Amino acid sequence: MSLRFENVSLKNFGPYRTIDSLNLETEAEAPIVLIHGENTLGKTSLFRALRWCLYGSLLPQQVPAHANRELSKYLNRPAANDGENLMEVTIRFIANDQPYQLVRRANFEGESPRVTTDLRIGPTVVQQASIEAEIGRLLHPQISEFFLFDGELLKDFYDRLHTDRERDFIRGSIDTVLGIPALQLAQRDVAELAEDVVQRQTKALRSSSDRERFNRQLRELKNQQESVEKDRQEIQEALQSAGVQLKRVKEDIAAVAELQADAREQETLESSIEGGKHEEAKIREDMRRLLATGWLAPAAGRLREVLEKVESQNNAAEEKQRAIRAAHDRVDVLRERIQGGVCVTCHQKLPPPDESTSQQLKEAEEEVARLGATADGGPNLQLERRINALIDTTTVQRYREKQEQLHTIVSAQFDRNRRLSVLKDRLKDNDAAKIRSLGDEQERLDSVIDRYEQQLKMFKPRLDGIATEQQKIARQLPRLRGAQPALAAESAFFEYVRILLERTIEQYQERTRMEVEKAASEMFIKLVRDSQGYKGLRIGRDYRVDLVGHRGEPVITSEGGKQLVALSLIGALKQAAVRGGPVVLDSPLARLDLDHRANVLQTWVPWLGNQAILLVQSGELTEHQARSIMGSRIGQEYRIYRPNNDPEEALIERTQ
Amino acid sequence: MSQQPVVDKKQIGLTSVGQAALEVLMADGRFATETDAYRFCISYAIASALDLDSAPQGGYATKFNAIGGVDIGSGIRDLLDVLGIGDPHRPYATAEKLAEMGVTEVARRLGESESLADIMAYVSG
Repeated sequence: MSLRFENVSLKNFGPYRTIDSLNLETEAEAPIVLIHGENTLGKTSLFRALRWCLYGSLLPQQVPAHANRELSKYLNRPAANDGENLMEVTIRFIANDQPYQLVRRANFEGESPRVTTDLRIGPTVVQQASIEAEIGRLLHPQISEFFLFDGELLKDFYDRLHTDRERDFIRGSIDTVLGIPALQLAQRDVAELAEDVVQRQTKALRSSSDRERFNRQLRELKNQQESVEKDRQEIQEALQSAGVQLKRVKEDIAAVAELQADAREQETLESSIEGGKHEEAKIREDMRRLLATGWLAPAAGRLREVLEKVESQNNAAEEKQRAIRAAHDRVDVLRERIQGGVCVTCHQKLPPPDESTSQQLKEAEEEVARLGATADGGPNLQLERRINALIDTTTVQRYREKQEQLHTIVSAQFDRNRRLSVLKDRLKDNDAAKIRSLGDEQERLDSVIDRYEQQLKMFKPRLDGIATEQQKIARQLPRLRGAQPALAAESAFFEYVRILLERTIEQYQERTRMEVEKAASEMFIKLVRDSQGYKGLRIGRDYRVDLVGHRGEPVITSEGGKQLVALSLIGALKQAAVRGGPVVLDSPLARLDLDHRANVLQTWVPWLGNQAILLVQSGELTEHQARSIMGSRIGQEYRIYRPNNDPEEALIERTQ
Repeated sequence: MSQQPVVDKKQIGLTSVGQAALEVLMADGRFATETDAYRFCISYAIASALDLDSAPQGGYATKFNAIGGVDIGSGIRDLLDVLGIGDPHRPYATAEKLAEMGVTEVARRLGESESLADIMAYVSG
């Protein structure tokens, strides 16, 4: 099966008043559609719009009738205020090379919404009664969790895998897709036909005592069977009733799910604000320290001016001293020359004096006297050093840097606090006690359902025992007088068909289990950093999932490892159930650590199928990170934004 | 007639106006201590070439010990000495006036929404 979304249109759904034909088309080389949006902007609304259009439900495992009760909450509020009462989602997709257009509408004219669906395959309008079946044939609702994947599931998916109910759900989902329930119904019908043959054969027996004996035995077995079936029926009804209650509670919990998202964001914000406070305090402390040690910094300019002046004075004083030394040297040389001596510096014999030598000496001595009279003690190098020691060249710049850091953090803290106040306002009418009591009720119902399910499992061996006894009688009857060969042949045939169906179911289930195990193992090995330590995943017949080491021993893994196990299994189940179809992932990376995000995007997402639609927020993947990690593999990229800063209004625009 | 020896101030402080200005400086935890702020303002007043004659001539309430407190490293005395500001025999009397003017001026500029980073950058050249 090949299925690919082409585009989606929304009218008055959640914060989206009109989204006209959001292009989701992808190609083999660029199979990823990225939709960026910060928390509460409308990612989950878009995700739910897709689910609602396909199945009429807003949440996984929710029946449409329950979804209808909540629909009014999804009608775009500004549209409702303007008197509009139609909400509509349209998905256009290609399946098996044929164009499909699925439209689901909710009309809010009356007290409860009237929901209608329209499906067209090319120009052909599909009959109302066949629409759900046609969609189920392409993307069965029971496997929707494997391709409409909410990243929040990752939080406890691994732990849920170790509960009977989740394993039964997974096995049931796979069985449904494989058509196992139909085979099981056939098995039951065949058993009824076989029972009818046995009764007819018993009637045909010649010996009245044999007839009575077998009739009695068959009656007893039938009575036992009916009694067990009745008990089973009662428990099944109780189970169904508990299931309905549980669904309601889960829907109530889902209704506060957005509040839970708010509560989580509040936690994150509070933690960021706390971190910000520490950071701010540290920066302020650094700034105070800079002012304490660098108090001279303001005077640096004035000190530099004075230093320049002192340096200039010192240079002039040095120059004058050099001139005095040179004048003294000249006097010494001229005196030596008159006395017939040698040069004081080169020790060469000086030329004899001439008429002008005495005059030159006189002038040199006058020059020495003149320079000496104006000399004022030479350069003041100590003053220069003292000024230099007082000039602070770093504090002003460092203080400015700290000030900028402080501005950044204060501004971020302001934004955080403002957002926190919005969240607190939203959460104030939903106290923790209410959410907690819903959680308690869910826990109680979960435990009741577990108990019923355990009880139901115990009926199977009892019914199998009765069936074995019936089969034993069926095998004895042909050997008795009066038994009819045609009925014996009929009985043997039904027995053969029964065994054939049983083995087919087993083989079918086993082959799929092995496929899922192989695919999940391969994926886990690709995703995990230190793959040498693992052989892969072992999936039991009851869909118990274990991570195993090289010697086949169960291995305990970290929280990050558990998430990779969950991702691998979901990917494998999606492949087994939907084959080449699309996958839509709402915040799939939020629960992963930073190191694994790139690996998951590069390895897991492309492996899921021919089209992956990712709804992400900047905390898990920024637009820049997305492009640097996935580059040309991104087919379409959008961002959700609020054009007027109104939470009731969102638009989607292309990022590039 | 013998000349009276010049005696410098041992305790220095601020006028009530200066004290109010110092409180502005201390708000928001800009400075760890009043001593830090006081020293900083002396430096600021020198950098701004504030006229010593404009400083109040009296009315100072003592706050700090000069040699053993505000100028424990003798940086203030050195600064005034190398720059030749005020009476070289009475550096702390000069420092007190500079601090008074500096505190008042810095408080005024902070009141006009300037930051200390801007003020420092402006006067330090």
